[in-house]
Amino acid sequence: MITTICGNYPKIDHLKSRVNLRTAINRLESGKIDHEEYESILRQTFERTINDQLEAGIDIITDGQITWQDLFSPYCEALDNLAAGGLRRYFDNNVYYRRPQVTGEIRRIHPIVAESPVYSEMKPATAMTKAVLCGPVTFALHADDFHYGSIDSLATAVAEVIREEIVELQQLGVSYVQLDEPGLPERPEYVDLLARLVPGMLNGTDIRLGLAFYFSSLKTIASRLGEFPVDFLALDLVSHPDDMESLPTLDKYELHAGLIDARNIMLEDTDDVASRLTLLRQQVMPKRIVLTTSCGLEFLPRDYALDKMRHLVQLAAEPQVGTDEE
Amino acid sequence: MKNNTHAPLLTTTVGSFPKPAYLLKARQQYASGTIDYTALHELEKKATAEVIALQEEIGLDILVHGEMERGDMATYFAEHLEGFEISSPVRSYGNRYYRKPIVKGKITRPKPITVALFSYTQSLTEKPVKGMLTGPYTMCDWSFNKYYRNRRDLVMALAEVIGAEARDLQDAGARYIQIDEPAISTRPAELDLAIEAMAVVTAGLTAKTISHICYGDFAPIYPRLLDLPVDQFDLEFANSDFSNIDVFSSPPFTKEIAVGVIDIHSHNLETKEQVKQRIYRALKAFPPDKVYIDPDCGLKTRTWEETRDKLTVMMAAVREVRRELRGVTHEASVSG
Ligand SMILES: [Zn+2]
Repeated sequence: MITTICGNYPKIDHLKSRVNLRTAINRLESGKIDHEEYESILRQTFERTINDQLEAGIDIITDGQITWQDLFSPYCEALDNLAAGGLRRYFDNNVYYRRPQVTGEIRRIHPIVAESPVYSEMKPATAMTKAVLCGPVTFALHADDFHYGSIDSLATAVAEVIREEIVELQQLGVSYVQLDEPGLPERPEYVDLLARLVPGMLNGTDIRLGLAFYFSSLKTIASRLGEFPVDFLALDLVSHPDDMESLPTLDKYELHAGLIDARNIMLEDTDDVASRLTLLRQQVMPKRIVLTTSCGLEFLPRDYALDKMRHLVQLAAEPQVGTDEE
Repeated sequence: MKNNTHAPLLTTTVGSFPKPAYLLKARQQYASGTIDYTALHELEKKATAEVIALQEEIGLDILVHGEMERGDMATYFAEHLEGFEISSPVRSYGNRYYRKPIVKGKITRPKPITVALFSYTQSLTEKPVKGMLTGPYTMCDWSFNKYYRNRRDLVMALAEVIGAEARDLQDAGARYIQIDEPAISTRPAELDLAIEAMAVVTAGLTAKTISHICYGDFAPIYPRLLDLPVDQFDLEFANSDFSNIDVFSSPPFTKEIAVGVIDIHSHNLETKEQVKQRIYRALKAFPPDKVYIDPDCGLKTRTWEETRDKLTVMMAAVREVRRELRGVTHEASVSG
């Protein structure tokens, strides 16, 4: 069974001797290092993030979302008429995000994630890559909108920006694009909107596009999970374990099964993961299963994140979890 | 119009103050083993005295010791309780990280944690100093659990030791004891557990009890939140521009409320007029005799100068509102 991680990865090391991006940012801001030195530390952090995934044996790697501040900040940095506002709690986590402020027509003036070296000069020959972006509906639901006037029109504008980004990601040879929509289960009335926006974002490209749902219970949208014209779904199956029972047949998708808890340091039991995978095969019948983390690994310190990733790969290789090829 | 004359508008702060440069340096030296604890602690006491002097100079009513001895509010207690280990850093937001506690055994309190520094701080001032604790629900939510069977068992074990600490603070003379629960708005489904645990912490206390909660959505937990057994809530409002205040209008708020009128995550200095408007908004939304005024959250992320400036503006605004409520004209109060 092949493996991936949901998206983000710890930026700083548990070993004090290694380069430290946190310190580098502080030193850059206080003028103690120049931009060149900061860029060098950033590159080393990307390299470490790629190497951690490759050494653990992850098949579809991400850039660890190393430069993000929160799910929304890549947009705030890349789009015109968008800025980061006050702090809010990020779902049910001891983590905060800055609420985006939309003050005019949003326009993509820089790439959002496509500039990451992981998709260009650092791109490994031995693994596929996945780019992760905030989905249009979750973005619209978490922004203060002073321009568009409705969730519908703001989400539509964000989808247009994502379309442009996807074109660039495809040119770079990125295999997967994952749109994170953790806000949708809380607002199931926007399932239609999201389903309607997908074809425009894909716009004929053959990149594998998927949606990720995590943190909130899936029960509110479970019956409608089959309505999205995407290639894969990434589902958090640990935050609300009984969500599994409410999942319908989803045989048109590749399922990225988030059975590895990225918010908990305890390592998963092999038999437990194996029996849940069996249940998914029987009940959900996806095209194939990719084993993944429930959400980003940045909730863990790096030493535990590494342990989790190695454990994930070991589990995927256990004979009892089974195999399925596309 | 409401009679606002019984609005004493007592002022306070949430808890932390910025650490002076010499203390930050000493904490690094202590961490790397180049100075011993006695040397570090002398500097913590020096900084605490400076925090008290600043608050007295500004004219605040209920003081804090400033948490010069603490890094993160959960990690500090985990470091002083048995049963915890501390992880390497995880991110909180932006470029801010904390070392997350890991529960690896039965939690016990070998000795009082905060009492000695509380007593020292209270000896420096005639004004009341708040005893400052982190609540059991937040301690659980902000830790990894490798020992207790479930979250409930962990929260209730924490409630026992934090309750013992609260009683020791009261015995040492604390008239106000603040038990912060910023994580309480995280999972509405666990609010009952947080309430049950707080009941254990505040059982038998005669000191005024306060709980600070911030950066959450209060709508799903109100009015059940009013059942949290404390006398006063301390909530943030300025950062969200008071957009969250209407939640508390129905049913009416029944406890004392410390209203955050200063955005502590912004470098921008509020104007006196801005802060006055915020105070008047609070007086409309809450029973005026129950309103206290303070910043949104701890001040540790601001510089010493920003802290002084922001609190000075806050105090000036409060003084003017107090005068206006007593019927003195605006012009008179400005020139006076
Ligand atoms: Zn706070």
